[in-house]
Amino acid sequence: MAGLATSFGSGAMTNSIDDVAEAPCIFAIGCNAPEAHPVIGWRVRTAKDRGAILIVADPRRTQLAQWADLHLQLYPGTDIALLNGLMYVIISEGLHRRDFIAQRTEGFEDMWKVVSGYPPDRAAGITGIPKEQIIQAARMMGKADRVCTLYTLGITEHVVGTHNVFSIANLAMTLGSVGKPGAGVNPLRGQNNVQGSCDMGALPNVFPGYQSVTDGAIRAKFEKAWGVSIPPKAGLTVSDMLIQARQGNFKAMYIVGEDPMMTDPNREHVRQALESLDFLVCQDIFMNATSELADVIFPAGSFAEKDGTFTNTERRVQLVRRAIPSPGDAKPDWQIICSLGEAIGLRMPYSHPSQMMDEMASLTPSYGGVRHNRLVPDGLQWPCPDESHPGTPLLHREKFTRGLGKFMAVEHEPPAEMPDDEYPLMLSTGRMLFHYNAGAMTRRTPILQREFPRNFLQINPADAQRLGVRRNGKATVTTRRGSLTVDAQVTDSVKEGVVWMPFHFAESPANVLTNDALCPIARTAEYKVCAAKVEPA
Amino acid sequence: MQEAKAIIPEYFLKADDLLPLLSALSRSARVIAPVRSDWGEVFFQPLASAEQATFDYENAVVAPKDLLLPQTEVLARYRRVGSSYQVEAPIEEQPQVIAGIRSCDLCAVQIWDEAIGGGKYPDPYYLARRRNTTFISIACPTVFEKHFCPALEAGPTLESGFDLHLTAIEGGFTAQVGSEAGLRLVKGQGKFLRPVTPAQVEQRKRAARDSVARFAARFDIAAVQRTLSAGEGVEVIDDTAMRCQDCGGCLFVCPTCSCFDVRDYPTGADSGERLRTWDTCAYAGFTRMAGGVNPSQSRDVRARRRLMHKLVYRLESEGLLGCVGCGRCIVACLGNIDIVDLLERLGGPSGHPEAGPSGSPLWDPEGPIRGPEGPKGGREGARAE
Repeated sequence: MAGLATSFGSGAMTNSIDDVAEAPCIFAIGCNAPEAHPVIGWRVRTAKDRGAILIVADPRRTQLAQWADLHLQLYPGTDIALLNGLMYVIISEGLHRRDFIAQRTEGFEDMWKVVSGYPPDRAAGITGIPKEQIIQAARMMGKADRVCTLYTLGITEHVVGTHNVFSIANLAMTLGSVGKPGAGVNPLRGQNNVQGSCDMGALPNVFPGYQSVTDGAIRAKFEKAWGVSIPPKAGLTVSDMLIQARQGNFKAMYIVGEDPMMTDPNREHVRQALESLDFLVCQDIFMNATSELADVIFPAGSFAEKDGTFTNTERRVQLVRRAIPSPGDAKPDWQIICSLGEAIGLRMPYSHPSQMMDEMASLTPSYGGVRHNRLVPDGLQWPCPDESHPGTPLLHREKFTRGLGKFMAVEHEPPAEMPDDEYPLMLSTGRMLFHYNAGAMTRRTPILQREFPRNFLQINPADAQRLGVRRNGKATVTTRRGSLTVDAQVTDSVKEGVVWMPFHFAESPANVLTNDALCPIARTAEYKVCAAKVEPA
Repeated sequence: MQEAKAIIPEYFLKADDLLPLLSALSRSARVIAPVRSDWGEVFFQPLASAEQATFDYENAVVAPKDLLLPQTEVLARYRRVGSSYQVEAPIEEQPQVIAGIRSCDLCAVQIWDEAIGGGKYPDPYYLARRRNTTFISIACPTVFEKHFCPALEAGPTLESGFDLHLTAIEGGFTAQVGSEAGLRLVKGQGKFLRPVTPAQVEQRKRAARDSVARFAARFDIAAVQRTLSAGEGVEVIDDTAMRCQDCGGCLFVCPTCSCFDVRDYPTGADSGERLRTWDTCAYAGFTRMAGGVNPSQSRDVRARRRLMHKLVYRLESEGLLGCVGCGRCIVACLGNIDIVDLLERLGGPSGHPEAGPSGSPLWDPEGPIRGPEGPKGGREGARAE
């Protein structure tokens, strides 16, 4: 998000979900839409059925990769080398969009200075992709009228996550594929309301609508509206809170709807950090590994038990309506938060979430025209500055949010932890169709649980044979942080030297293995690659 | 049923009397009808008042099958009493009228009557709901886009096999009674159901003919059955498997799919519930054995089995085709799998030498029923005159 905000001025999908189906060429990198974003996978399928070219860059031969005209099977953590290599070919063959670059962007020359160091031979050497495929992909993109780029956590969950996003933005601008239908740079959000949470300022450095807390005028606006004084400094990210907690500098946490013991990297580090706190409050619909450590637990209502809005990946604010009452003492999150606020002396006299939306709209330009009564039937896509505004399906149409699009030159840097003699394999982690994140909901759903009851490891047949790991046998995976024994799934969907594991299983949590090295800008950890060894168990 | 045809009582229902009729019926039964949501989609829903109902619609997003086999239902509650268990099996006996059901969905109920309510082990929960349910079906004015019921003899209208069947004509509907339940339903409703005139009967017959006039079957079901049974059509099945994203949507919206799962859930230290929930054979785990072996692990095996079940096995076990041509699976599919395309590729006029010329209707509304293999493929009552 920080990456796109720097390059374009707005950290969200530039285009809309339906728009993907209109694309003449789709480039999906670090993204397995049919499993992780099936509704968008559908649009990709539709585009393909209408004749679109599909190029997929992924270390695994995913279902999306199987649909692709060209699958670029790169090593994890080599995205920038691939993207720079693609731009090298596009630019040196004159397929870049000179007018677009000249009129709408800045920094192209500086970027070329870096990208010119990535001829296909070098890109192929780093990524493990045959150089002919890099050239072919670049020509396919360069010759397409427009290219729609899709990416997800395969791009961001790296120490170079923000640089990866810069590089994707560079490619899209090189191709002149921003601000047009069936094009754009589209980070797919993995949860129903993660876009909404960010929009509402659930980030340490911004108020709702990405208004900076360090801006005095903006701070004054919120101080006046809320009748409080607000610290002028950005707060800590979740990753930094855990680091500070472990060092004894951070004393209390209130965790709402999250299970960091399952979803944060290096579980042992997380456990020590949470146990170092003086006071931990958890709020969730089910007991989970994190709330096991809590001093106080607030039972929350599920999605079906509350009114409010979810803002989805295409910036669409959608109405949610209560369908059933909450069981027992559970309450909708907003009621719990308001009760807590009133108890510590804050003024939170809301009787319905629509009142909060009205307040939010009065303080947040991009949500200025959003009202609950405008959200039926289709919701509204922000920016929606006033009540007569129909919403904005397509960003950066005439100009970028920041004015000129900014090329950010970036070099390939290897992952924080690379294979060595002791840990000779690359372990990558990710998601699968039948389970959702920490598994708190899907693993309580018997039929989903039946589909994938246990954790497993994908390993290439050549590695499996060399290591003596047998199909459907057990394998022990060990990294510098921990060890797990799981079922072995011997498959050529991962390339030799790479193993892959989902992270949904509380009794066998992949995050005991993962590396908590962080992207210095976004503070997102490198879930997607660490060094590992595998032995038969 | 051939005999029944001669004595089908038929009435005329004025358009303005339809909702008042539902109101009158709601005094003695729960009335369920299509209701359009704020989002424009139509669902079957119990009516709080008759004005909620809409009959100006193509078809509901899902068939009203959950009213006969709920998505989740309690089969039994058990409690430990001393050293034994006390078991209670709640069987629901609530009269309900399902109004506005389309011909295809009613044909699906016929399949369930055989598959769940018939055979060696008729399901008592299903049968209780079934005997308490009366249907008011309504003929479609045309074969809607994505629908292909005539090719499977499941619509767009019916001539028997219904309780009370409405066909829109000038000023209202003809209302045909086709069963004992239908007779009970119309009893005492003379205020709304008036004598039908011969001209109105003629209008009804014309509406039935007009509704299929522009429909042309794109496949020959017998040819499809031969291809599938011979294990042929590998490319078509592989393409389906490659497109399938394992969402199960096609099976949950299918009016004939009836897979379920039964599990026990604790409700306390000494008590529990046995729940039945919908399930789907499209998921790999449906057939996985305890030791991990799975005869249907790969998607192509599951894709072929689905078609075999619908088009071949159902005929063998229930004597009815397992697809009624409602087209819901086409709408639901995230992989753009279109069952009509599939069937055309497996047994369409161009794809199969034994099939008829392209564009010719499999089923000639003026002619006799051309079932796939004589009476075996025929669906009772599912044709216009």
